[in-house]
Amino acid sequence: MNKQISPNQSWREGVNYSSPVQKVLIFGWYDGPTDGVLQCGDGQVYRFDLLAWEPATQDLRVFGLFPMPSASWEQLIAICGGPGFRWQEQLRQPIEDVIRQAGDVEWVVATEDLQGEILRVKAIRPDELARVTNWNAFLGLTQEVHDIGPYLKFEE
Amino acid sequence: MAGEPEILKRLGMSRESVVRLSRKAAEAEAALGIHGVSVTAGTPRGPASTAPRPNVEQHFCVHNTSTRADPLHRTIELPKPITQQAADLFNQLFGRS
Repeated sequence: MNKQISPNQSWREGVNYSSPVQKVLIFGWYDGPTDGVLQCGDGQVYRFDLLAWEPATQDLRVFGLFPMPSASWEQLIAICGGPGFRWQEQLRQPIEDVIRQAGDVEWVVATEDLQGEILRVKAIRPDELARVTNWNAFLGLTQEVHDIGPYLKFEE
Repeated sequence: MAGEPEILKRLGMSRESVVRLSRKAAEAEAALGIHGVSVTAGTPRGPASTAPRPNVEQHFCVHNTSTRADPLHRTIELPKPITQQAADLFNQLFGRS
């Protein structure tokens, strides 16, 4: 794990607050983001990965947030060219090399819009991430969400 | 198998409204630059309705929009604005009538 990850300031446990996310690089999409990297207003950078979603509409999504070194954002911008990037297979390796710097999961976030209203945020330990499958109970959500596994993987 | 048409799978089995399709297409346009909705030619993570790609392409443009997790992600481009007729056709193609 990278040792230069800054102490977290962007996220706090809570409900219904405005997203601290300022910019998003989207690497995965299915009617909405599934994975990528985000930068908060205070410069904190996180990899995000979809953990669960509302099964009928996929509108409400639960993401895991993994801290990254602040400098990783500029590294990714240099590769991807900026927000609005559309995934290109030939850039997979350099992108993977950067996002590999992500640390252990710190937060679980439930939202319909990563840059809009955040419905629920809860701190999480890596061992909990491996164990939890009922995200409704973990986050206290009234809407049903279904676990999709650690990462969104479509088999060929 | 060679010669078999690509099968597009869209999560969910229920009919989709003009409002929902319009919202999802607008989100995709903002993020991906294509006014459309997601399907996969791979294995979907959940119940999905299906349509052969050639059938869909008779009416809508299908873009190969691979993602980090799904190299077989596709985006079906929908007209802007999405009319009731277009939504009905989309649902019909995926057997959601």
